[in-house]
Order: sequence, then C-alpha cells, then structure tokens
Amino acid sequence: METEKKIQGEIDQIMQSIEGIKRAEMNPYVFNKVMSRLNEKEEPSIFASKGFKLAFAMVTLFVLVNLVTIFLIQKESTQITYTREQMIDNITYEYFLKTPYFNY
Amino acid sequence: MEEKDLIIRILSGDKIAFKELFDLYSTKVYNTTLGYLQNKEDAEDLTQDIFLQIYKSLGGFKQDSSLNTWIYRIAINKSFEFLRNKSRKKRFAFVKSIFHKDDEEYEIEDFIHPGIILENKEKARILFKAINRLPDNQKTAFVLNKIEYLSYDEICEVMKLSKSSVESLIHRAKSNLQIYLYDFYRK
Repeated sequence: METEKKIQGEIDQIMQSIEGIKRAEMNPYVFNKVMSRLNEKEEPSIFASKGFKLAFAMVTLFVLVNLVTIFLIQKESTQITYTREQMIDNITYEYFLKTPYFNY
Repeated sequence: MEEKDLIIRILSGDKIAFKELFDLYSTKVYNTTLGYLQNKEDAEDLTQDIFLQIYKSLGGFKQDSSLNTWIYRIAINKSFEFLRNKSRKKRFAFVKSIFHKDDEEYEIEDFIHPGIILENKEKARILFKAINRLPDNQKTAFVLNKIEYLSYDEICEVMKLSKSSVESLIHRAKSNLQIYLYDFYRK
C-alpha cells in the first residue's frame, strides 16, 4: 500500500514536470537554409514530365511494331519461293482466268 | 485583413513577406514538431520542409480556416509523415541487421526538452518517452494543449473535432500516460 502511494506520488510529479514548459529556440540560420533551398529548386526536368514519358512510350511502340513487321516480311519472302510459271498460275487462278478442270 | 495582405504579398514573390510569415510561425512550427519528433536536429530539418511546403501550397490555401490553423495542420501532418518514414527505415534496418551482424542498431535517444527547467528534466524525459507511446489523436491533443498551450477551441479547429471529443482525447491521453508510467515504475 505504501509502495503504491509512493509510485502514484512519483507519477503525479512526472505528469506535472512539463507544467510551465518554455518554447524552445531553434538555430537562427534556419530561414537562410529555407531560402537557399527555395532558390536551389530547379525547373522540373523535361525527361521527368508525363508528356515526355507518354511520347517516348509511343515512339518505342511504333519502332517495335515496324521492326516486327519488317522481320515477318523478310521471313515470309525467304520461306516461299515461286518459279515464274507458278506465279503466273497463281495470278490466273486468283483472277479466274483459268477454270478449274475436274475429272469425272 | 493583415493575414490576407501577407498571403498576397508572398504569392507575388515578396521574400520579405515570407520572412515575416516565418518570424510569426517558425517557433510554433518548431515546437510542435519538437513535441512529436523529440529530436532537435530532426525538428529543425522538418521545420525547413514545412516552410517549403507552406511556400509551395500557399496559392491553394482556401482561407476557410485561419492561417495559424492551416500551418498547424501542415506541421502535424508532416510530423506524422516523418515518424512513419523513420519507423519504416527502422524496420528495414532490423531486416538488414539480421543479415549483417556488424550493422549498428537504431537507438531511440532520450529526449530532454530545452524548455524544461533543470530540476524537472529527468522527470520530463520519462514523460516524453510515455507521450511517444500514445495513439496519434491523443498525442496531438496532448501536445497541442500541454506543450503548445492551445486552448480547447483552437485544438478543435486544428483537429476538426468537437469540443467534447477534444476533452475526451486529452482525458484519455492523461489516463494512458498514468498507465504507462505505472508500468514503468512496476518494472
């Protein structure tokens, strides 16, 4: 019981320890530091802007699509090689210049 | 009217007006942040950040509250943001310390407020440790009332709460502090 009272007394003293607390003073150069940081502030870089990022992404996509298309065309042209007669046959077939012949 | 003039002058790029604003509010901002961060260097750095923020955001200040209230809100939000970042770094430091045994452990230094009279310094150090453990809202109400000497009405405006809520927060803060201090002595 005695100990409890003693503890409560200590706690009360601690709770009252900040009564009458005075304002703390800070370093007088803080304003100069704020001003120098304000003056340091650079213009935002063009590379960091949203517009630049979007434009960059679109150009990259455009270049990629073109590269893929060129690659596919080249691949196709190397795979399929026709003789002159075959090419003529294909054209005539496409434009119905040659009727199909069916054996009964 | 003076407040409006000051804002208009700052917005037009008048550096002297900004210095006037700094002189008016820097001590309040510094002492508020000091109450939260409990570290002089951190409080000074954060005061700089807060004034940079004020300078940048002044154009968006709607004047539906006083400049004083608005600045207190920025100071409180920035203080909590700072503490959250610090605890995040602390957690990361803990993870790092698992892998690198040689790393120094993060230590919370004991804070002695420079505005406390000499005979109370030791007791105040214990109290500030206990204040650190309070939930955010209780801590804000307690710091604004007991360290910044704001009236209940002013705290209501800063915290956007009713008077009864603020009274309740301060009452709960005091009860919690009693519990924390009791635990401290029982150990």
